[in-house]
Amino acid sequence: MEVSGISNDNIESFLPLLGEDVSDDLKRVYFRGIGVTDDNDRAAGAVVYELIDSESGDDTKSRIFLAKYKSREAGDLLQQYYTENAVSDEEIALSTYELPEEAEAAVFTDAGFSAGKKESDEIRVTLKEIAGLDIAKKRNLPDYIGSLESLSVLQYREAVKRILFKGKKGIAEDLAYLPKNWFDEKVSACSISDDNADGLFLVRRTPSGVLLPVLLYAYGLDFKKKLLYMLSQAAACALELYPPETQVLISRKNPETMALVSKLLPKTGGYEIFYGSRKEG
Amino acid sequence: METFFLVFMLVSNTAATVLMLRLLGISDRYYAGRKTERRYFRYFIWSVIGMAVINTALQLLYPHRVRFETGSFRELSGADAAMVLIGHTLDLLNLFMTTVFLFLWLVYVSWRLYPGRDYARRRFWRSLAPLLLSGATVVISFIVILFVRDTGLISLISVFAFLIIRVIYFIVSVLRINLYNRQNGRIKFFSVRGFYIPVVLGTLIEDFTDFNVRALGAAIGITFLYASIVLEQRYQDSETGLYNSSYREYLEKLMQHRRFSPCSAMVFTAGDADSIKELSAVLKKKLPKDCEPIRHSDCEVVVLTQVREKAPLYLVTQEVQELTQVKADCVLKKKSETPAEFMERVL
Repeated sequence: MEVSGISNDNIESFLPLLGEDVSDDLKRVYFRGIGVTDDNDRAAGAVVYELIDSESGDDTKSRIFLAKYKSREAGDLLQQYYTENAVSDEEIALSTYELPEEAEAAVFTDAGFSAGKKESDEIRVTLKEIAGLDIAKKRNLPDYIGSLESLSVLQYREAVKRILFKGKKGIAEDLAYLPKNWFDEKVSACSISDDNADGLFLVRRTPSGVLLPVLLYAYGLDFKKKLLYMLSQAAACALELYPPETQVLISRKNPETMALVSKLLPKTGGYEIFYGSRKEG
Repeated sequence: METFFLVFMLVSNTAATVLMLRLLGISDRYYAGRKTERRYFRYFIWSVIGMAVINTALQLLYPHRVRFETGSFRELSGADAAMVLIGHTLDLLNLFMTTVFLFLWLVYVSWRLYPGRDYARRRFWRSLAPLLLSGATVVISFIVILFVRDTGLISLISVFAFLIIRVIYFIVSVLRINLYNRQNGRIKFFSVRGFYIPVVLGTLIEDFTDFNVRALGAAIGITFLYASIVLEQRYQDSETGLYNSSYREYLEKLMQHRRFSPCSAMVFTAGDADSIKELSAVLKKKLPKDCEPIRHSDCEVVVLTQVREKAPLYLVTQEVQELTQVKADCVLKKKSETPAEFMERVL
């Protein structure tokens, strides 16, 4: 068996294990993949992780969110490669994992990671459920709310820059590097004041068709109203463009999103995940 | 005693007027390049002069507290009735001017913190509505008093209406300042307490005693505000408009007292002293609000920020480098570093 990093050269062979969404994520700045192939050069396993705080003054952390392997041997090789190469190359101070299956987590728990169970930060709803919410039914939005399409690239960059300087980046560590067209420009919404965007609701449509809200932020006067208007704008557009069974994947990583989701979708919870961590070095 | 209070009132209102006229004369210099803010500041000053003038007229004409003397004056005629009518009208105008003053304060502070025509346009009617209501109260009260010739209930209602509207403007302005502080960090060189304390004290003293100091309190408050703007100018480099080395020393003092701690810095080095003007013009457009751009030397500008990651800094340095021929570096503060050690490394 052979272990190596997953790159553009070999990603095709790992596609069945990774899925199109994760494969797409591997093109992003802070996502890394390790793959193991068997003696016939077929994909036998893969681990994908995201680096967090890697370009900040804080210690770098990693979040392993995919670990698939066809045999225990493959899993051990992946874990070993991660520990011996990735940790030192990326100067990772704390490794964490969040995996849906206990079996997937086994190679990590046996390698010194802690083990636990919790409800996931992510919840999945459909557009049909969102259509039933009051925000989706709101009409007559003010003229300063529009879709991301209405922003120029310069206005988008300026807005992202201002939001980053306020210490916000949503769920995307690499928000600074994501171009405007990475997001669904029709569903994503913005609020404009004096030719500048002072609010953004950025939604990504993944290759598999899942809608993924990435950032919801507004500042200035009436920022709370702008947030609600942008949500309404996005919901209305999504309902027009996509079928009702389209999945929406909402990450409740930060307290503000958690509070908003609890208010809008009180009955929707996450799923069980297995998580753990290990201090490195 | 009455003479004493009359003289006190004259001195107080004259002082307020003179102070404001002096401020009108010198404020243009320090508001260069900020036309709209200057305009609102001048309206603000004129409202204090209006308060002082109307209050003086009221007290000279009708030295007692008119609004507490309610009742019918139908039995009066000619000059006596006219005096009562004029006195009550002036009293209503006096109350109205204080409302105008607080409305203009709200307008000024909104523009200062959130400049932009769209913001102003969207909130215009909401901000003006209470003032229009108080204006309508003045007109209706005057008409009722004129025809009914009884100051009675109308006088009392109008007093409470003005009080409520003044409190609304006061609270909204405080909330707006708090919102700004939460979103952008504490506003620099804006003496909010220096403004509110004299204004509130002047109003309370005049409302509950015979000392007419409302206009003087407002004038002192505005003067404190202006003094803080002048202080800001002292920390500005005359050539570029960026902060100067005195400001850097001021920040270092704050760091010693743990009241300021930068998390990162961008260092821009221009080729020569001429290019620094071009660089500063670009930085003023491209830097977000809570950055501290300091002219460190003839050709170097250091920008201190609270950002903890390199990516946003790269966005700014890239933009600046696209527009100018400068060298740019980004420096992050290490966890183990003190602010002083970080500054040493940057400078």
